[in-house]
Amino acid sequence: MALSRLMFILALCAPTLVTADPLSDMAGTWQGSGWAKQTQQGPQETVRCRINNSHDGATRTLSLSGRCVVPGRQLEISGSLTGTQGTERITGRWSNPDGIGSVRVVGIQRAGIVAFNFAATDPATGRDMAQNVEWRVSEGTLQLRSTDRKDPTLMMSDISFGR
Amino acid sequence: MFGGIGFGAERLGLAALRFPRTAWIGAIVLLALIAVSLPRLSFDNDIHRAFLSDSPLSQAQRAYDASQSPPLGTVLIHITSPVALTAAQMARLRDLSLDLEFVGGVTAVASPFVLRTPPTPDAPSGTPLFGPQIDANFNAALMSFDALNTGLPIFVNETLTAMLFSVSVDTNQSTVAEIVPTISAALNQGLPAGLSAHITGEDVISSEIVTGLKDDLIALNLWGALIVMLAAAALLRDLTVAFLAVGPALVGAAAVLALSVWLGYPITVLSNVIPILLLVLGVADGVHLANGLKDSGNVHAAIQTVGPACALTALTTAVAFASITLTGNSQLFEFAILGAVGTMLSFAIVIVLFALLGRTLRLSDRPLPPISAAIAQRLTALGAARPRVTIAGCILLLIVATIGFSQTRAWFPLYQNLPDNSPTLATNDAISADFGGVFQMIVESDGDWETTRALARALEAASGPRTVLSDLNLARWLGRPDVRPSPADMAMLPKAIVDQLRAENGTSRLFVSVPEPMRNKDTLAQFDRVYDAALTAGADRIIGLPTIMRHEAVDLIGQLSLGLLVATLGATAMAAAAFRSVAIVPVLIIPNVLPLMLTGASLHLWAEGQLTPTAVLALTIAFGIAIDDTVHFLSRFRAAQLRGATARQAVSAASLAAGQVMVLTTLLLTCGLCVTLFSDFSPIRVFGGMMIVTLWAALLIDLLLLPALLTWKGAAHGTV
Repeated sequence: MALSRLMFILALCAPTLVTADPLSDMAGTWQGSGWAKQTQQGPQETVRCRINNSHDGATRTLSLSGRCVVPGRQLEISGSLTGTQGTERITGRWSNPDGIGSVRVVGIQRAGIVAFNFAATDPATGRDMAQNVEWRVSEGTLQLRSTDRKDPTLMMSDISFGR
Repeated sequence: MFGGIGFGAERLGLAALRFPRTAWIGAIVLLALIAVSLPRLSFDNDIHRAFLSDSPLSQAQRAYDASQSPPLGTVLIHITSPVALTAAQMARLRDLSLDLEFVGGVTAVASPFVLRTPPTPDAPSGTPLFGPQIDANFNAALMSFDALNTGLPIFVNETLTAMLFSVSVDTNQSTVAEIVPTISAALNQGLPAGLSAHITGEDVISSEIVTGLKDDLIALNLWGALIVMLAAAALLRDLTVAFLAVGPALVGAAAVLALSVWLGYPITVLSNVIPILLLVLGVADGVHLANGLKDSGNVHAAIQTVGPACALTALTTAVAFASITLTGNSQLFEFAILGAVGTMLSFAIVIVLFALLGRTLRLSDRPLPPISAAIAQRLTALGAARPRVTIAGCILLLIVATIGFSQTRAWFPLYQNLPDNSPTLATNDAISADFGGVFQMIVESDGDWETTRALARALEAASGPRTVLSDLNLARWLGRPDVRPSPADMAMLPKAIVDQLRAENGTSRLFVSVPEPMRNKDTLAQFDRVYDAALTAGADRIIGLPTIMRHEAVDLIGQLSLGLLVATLGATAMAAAAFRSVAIVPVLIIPNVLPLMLTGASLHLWAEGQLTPTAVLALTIAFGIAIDDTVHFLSRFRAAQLRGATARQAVSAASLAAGQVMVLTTLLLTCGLCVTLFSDFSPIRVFGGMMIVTLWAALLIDLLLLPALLTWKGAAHGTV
């Protein structure tokens, strides 16, 4: 477990060919596909997403909205992440009205990576869920990965985006 | 008291002659209004709204439509492969189904990829049958799902060569007609090579029919008008006469279209025939008037001589239309009002424009073609020479034709309204074979869970496996078939489906996929079997387009037939009142009903004896055409009698004056209507064919039977 946490942190620190302002690099329209799981031991489900991000340089805020679909269900998603001047800290909200609702998120941004975590209760299962979320942006690609906070080796989603 | 058989309506033309400047200004203003209004002409794209009435079924359908929030339309995508689908193709199709979810307005896509195993603690929504990786034995997953006996559709046929996507569309966001091109583009982009896909569904079919009909009707009307113009020039051998005969009638027909804009009535699949009818009657009146002008050399005299008969034909047609309101059928009300008001508007335009143009234009001295007079005289002489035989023969024919007509069957084949080259029909048949059908019968129950279960089981038994969607499917999937799924259980389904299955007031809905009811006798029997099963099992309401087509459209045909009967009686009474003669009633009834019955009976020869709404409308117009000829003939007959002629002399005079024009108009209109025979739509071909049959039947019967009736026993019947 400790090893996996370390790997997660290392991943955040890894140098990449990207700018130091990942929030602004995430702006634009993205189409993604991959998979996600509803529970730790649940099955992988095919996911496709289309999101539209806009970045406000003055407030250092990335606003995100879009839709993800799994077979038989559409999920509207939205959120905003705001950087703090002089630090790597970001704060914001993540909203999924059909799922976890609106939750507060806190994280960091660093060369090509935006990472945050959240905790919420899944209304469908009543289970507490807590995940680490990582966005990696580079060269016209965007990667979303999330892991379980209790067991970061447990991948909960993996979605690759392109423009 | 207005004098003459036209109740004085022809005085409108005389007034135009008296005040030509005012009349010209009025005509130009009206033309401008028509020109401005025509671009705003609207067509009713909801084909089944035309068949809704005040019946409990229609009210239930309207209540269902109103309860839809948001209102949903359905697009079906039928994907076929020449060989069984492979795992790679399945993966591509899965991605395609997901991509369709991103199309604006799409709320859900039902496909095999939404199928899941029953829920477990680790997979509270169930495990998808098709995960991110689809392996080669994916059919085993489908078989295992089917073995659960949920009754849910699996959207793939047994040979794995066909798949169905059901795309739900929020029609507040996008109409089905608007979204189809986007879906087509997505299919073109995402469909695996070697597969083909066709789009269908109730709303798609409706849109295809209305769009096709609209284009076809516009083209046919334009070509028909052009051909009538050319035929008039050729037959009348005088361009000015041809213009006088056809020009005002064209304006009159255009005015009726504008009238629909002014009244706020969209053109429907029923009312689109009204302009054609009025064009036909307008041209006939125009030829009679132009011939009268040619004879007298004076437009005032022509209007005084022929105008009353034209006015009476307009009045009888208007009364015929207005009579339809007596059926009390709300869906026919707009049709009747547009027809009645439009007829009088068209007449007013024809008589005024004829007056204005007639006093301006100079006609040649060239006589009408002698062949038309010869035909008319020959037939008239034949009828008058052997009146008893002619009458007996016609009565016999009437009996036979009436029996033949009574053997026609009220039938509403939606598929026949599709263009001939449309692939939709074959797609619908394929969907019926593999997935139950394109159309959705909706069964509503206000009862308890037991009633819903009983209904679902009865419908499954009658309709076949995997064709019924209800709460029971979900209950079986959850492994608790005896327990009604809770709202939490229902939350596992897309909200659009939940809202469909359960109304806000607690009513349960069951959806049955059925073929088009009147596709053939077998599908009709199947529909009736499912319908009866629903009623027997306790359904409170059975609605949906197939039910509307099966019951409301057939009722509509009955109402139209009743309207036709009322119109026949009303127009006959009107004409009898105009001639102030009760004795004339049989003279009007027999020659006018006989062409109608002959045309109706002829449906056995070319339309499998199917009496469709289009056919009944054609019969209504047939009566209008028949009585038009009769009134013109009788008008000339009476004029001759008033000059002191005997019945035989008056018949001969009428034949010469009106008979030859009747022959000419029949030829002229046949030319114009021939374009309908080249239509891509079967109902339009049947409609045009029926009109042509009617025109000739009416002509022959008028020229044979009227002289026989008018000269039989001399004065006893020979005075009008």
